[in-house]
Amino acid sequence: MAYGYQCIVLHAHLPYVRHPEYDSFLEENWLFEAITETYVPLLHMLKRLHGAGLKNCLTLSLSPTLMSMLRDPFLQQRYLKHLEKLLRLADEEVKRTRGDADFAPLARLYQQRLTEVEHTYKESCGQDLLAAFVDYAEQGVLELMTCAATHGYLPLLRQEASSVRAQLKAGADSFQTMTGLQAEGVWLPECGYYQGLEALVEEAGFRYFFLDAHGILNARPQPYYGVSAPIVCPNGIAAFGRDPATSRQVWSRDEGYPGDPHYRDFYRDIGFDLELDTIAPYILDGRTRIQTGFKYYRITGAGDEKQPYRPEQAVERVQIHADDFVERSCQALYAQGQRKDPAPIIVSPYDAELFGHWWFEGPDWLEAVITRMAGEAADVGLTTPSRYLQENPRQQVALPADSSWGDGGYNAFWLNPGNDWVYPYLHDAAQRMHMLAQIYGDEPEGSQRYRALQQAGRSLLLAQASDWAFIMKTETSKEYAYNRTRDHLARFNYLEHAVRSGEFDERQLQALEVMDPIFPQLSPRIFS
Amino acid sequence: MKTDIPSPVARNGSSSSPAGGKGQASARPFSVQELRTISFQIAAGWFRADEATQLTLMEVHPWRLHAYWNISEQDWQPSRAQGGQEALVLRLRDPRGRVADQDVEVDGRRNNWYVDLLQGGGAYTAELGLLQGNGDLQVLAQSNTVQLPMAEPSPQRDYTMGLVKDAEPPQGDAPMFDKSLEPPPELPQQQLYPGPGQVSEPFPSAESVSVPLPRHEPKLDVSGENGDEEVYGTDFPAIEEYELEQEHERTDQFSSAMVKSEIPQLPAMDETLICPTDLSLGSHATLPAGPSAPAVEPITPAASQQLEQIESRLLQEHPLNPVPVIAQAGADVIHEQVSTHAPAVRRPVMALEDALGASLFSGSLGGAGLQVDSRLQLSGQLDPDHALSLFGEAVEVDAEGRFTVSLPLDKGPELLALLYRLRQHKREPG
Repeated sequence: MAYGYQCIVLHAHLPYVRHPEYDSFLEENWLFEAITETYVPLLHMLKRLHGAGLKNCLTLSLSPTLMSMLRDPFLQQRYLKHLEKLLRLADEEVKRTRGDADFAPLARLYQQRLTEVEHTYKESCGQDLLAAFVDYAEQGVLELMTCAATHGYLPLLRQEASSVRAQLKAGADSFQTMTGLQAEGVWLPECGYYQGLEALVEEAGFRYFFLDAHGILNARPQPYYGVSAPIVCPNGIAAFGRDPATSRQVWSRDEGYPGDPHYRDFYRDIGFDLELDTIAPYILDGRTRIQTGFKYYRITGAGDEKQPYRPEQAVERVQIHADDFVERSCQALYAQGQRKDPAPIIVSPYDAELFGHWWFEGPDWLEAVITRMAGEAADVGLTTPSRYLQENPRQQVALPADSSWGDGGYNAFWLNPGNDWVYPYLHDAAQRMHMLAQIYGDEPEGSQRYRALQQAGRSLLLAQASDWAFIMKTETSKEYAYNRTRDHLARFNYLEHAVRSGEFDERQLQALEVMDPIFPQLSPRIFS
Repeated sequence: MKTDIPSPVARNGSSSSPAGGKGQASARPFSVQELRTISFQIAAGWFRADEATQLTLMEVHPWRLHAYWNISEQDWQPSRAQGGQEALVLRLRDPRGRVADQDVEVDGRRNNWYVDLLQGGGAYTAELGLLQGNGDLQVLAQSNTVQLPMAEPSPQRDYTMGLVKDAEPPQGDAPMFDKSLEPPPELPQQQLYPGPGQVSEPFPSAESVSVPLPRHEPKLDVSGENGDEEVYGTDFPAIEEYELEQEHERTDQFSSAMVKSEIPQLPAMDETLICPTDLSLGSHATLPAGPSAPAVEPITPAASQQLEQIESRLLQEHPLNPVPVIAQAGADVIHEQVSTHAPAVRRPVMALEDALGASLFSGSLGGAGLQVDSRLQLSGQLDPDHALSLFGEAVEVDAEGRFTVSLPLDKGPELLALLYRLRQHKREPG
């Protein structure tokens, strides 16, 4: 008999990176790398779990921007070209490393994995990874949920409530349209919550969301069970709290499993290590070095000196780390006094892209954990939020506290001197969109004014993505984030003028529809 | 049922307009170059800011606000006509309209500012205006109201159970909300899971688990040597030139001191500084399981009235966000914490460590940092570079920043007002 439940949640999200106005575009690689290294390996894992007859293994949040990109024929074509290039590189690497006892096996390993990815993507899934995830959800292997439309950081959009409402409603609608499923849960972007948001969550049709631990622990009244049980907002929406300990085991660079010296190092990549002439045919423009995914070293230690990667050693560590995680979960649940009502639950949410992309062995570890917990004799049971709430429908009533899972626990990561300039523009545009929707929301569908209004809504939603403020703060692709924010706001202003003046340049309107075709069924009325 | 998404992009790689767009004049595909040209044209010609007068407050974290504003040319003109010498200030008010803090002078060349606050969890509105010679504010813009979050567990205990939306009640017609249930007994302490024993350390229970709490972020330089230009706003980037490197100089107007009600005025703060490394609990503080449940001795009506008078006088004299706390000698606890913004409203009874600790003292809150009997003993740890004074007297701080202060308490309830003042300082960029 299990002492309680473990709920593993992966949040899969990428910003909308789609640039038909260029022949190739560096940031589209974010999607391509995630498909190769995370999404397809997760599907491989789900296939094996399904084959073993396991259910309720995992909860996967798919952001609407990611779903749109996975379904986008334009990006699917570009991904295939990317994959072909990687396969050619794999062939070259097998030749180049021939006779090298350290690297030749790794080159063959990557070649084999890429071949499997190609087969899965083209043959098994028909280029539609989203459909494959939906299939497994319908089989009960996992639960799917979604998040706000473009991952807007809602606490900093609240100045215009219609925008928060539109983010949530467009997210829910988009999920239903693309998957045919009704999402019961919503991943609040960055776990960003403010008091009152639960009303808009309910309005959008969701039943639960997740918070960082202090969002639960500082709730009013004080939750009796801390984060080991969800709380119910006064309107009936459930809020689950992230378990700090299991999060740290996976997230922490210092204490967490991914920092094990036997695991593959992320940063050493032949895209940077090989001579430029050698790697040039396989990188973006033949000049700009990028990550290729061919990485031959293990983490080794903190210094620059790295030892060759040994997959067989990493496999051993995966098993040890899976055992450790399961036992820690058992111990935490046992410490809850073996209560039954409500049953204790450990909620462990992670970014999906951590698994496979950043932590190469992550999918193997996840599968090992799930397999152990799914055993009939296991002391911890796997569950999903919906299933848990079905079995434990009555929880303590409390109002969560404002919080996020970002550095500092509140809004500081998305509001600081590195990115604060965006908010006057975003708030102003949100207010104007609200007015436009009120005035012109009943225009006939398909008319130029309606299409321009729709496109203005898309532009606003895309400008609101939390990713841009995040990137400006981290300064990783600052210029790109700035340009994206500026471009979407400029497009919004242009479209607003067209809607108000009634003067339309059909060619330019079509061009904007072609460049940002996300949410084809977007109703402008959700902004009113 | 699954729905196919109409493709806006032709399979051959060229881009066509979305399917379903009625009334389109042309279905001619776009070239990459044409799309790029249109994208550039719109980006170059249509990125613009709102020019209307407005002021907006946003929450950064429990102790920090961000304000941004725009003042239209028309609204600036009366000031310019008079020479434009007045200081531009932000004036914070509580929801009842009372001034909630000292005016914050802002740089008129900026259009945003960060304001640090003493207490988390307050509600604020703001006015941006020109400070007149007589102290009046010529208001240019008024803000929205923001509610900052409380960064500590709620003292409220209420075990009401409720049904999750659309859930089937477990026992047929169970009510949506049920207050009749008694809270279950306290959880057993630190039971070790009787498993195979791979984990060597006991796993903390959910209620005592160590949570990385948000830090009070500013790394403040309190040397007071860099006060020439006191700016803490950021520029909007120009459209054609994106420049993020900005100065982060600033001034806070807060002070810190602890005064007893009998002390007629605030001690001079010009020689000593107080700047705890972290005004919150620290980055990895242990959350208390909740406020202790002390045996509270009731305060007599006469004593309560006397305390309110003292409190009102202190508030009038020092409207700096004090945290009056009513203490009683000989008792284990402090009886009440009183909100400065609503003196008539009593907050729930709190333990002294809950009332004070979250504001000032890092480290354990479980009593190790604070004791109350006939004396109030406070201890904590500062950044070793910083100094501390209480009642105008320097407090000895050891090489690691630790300090202990013992204050005598008179018999009967006492009012302690805890005030901070972070002196003029400059924040390091980043």
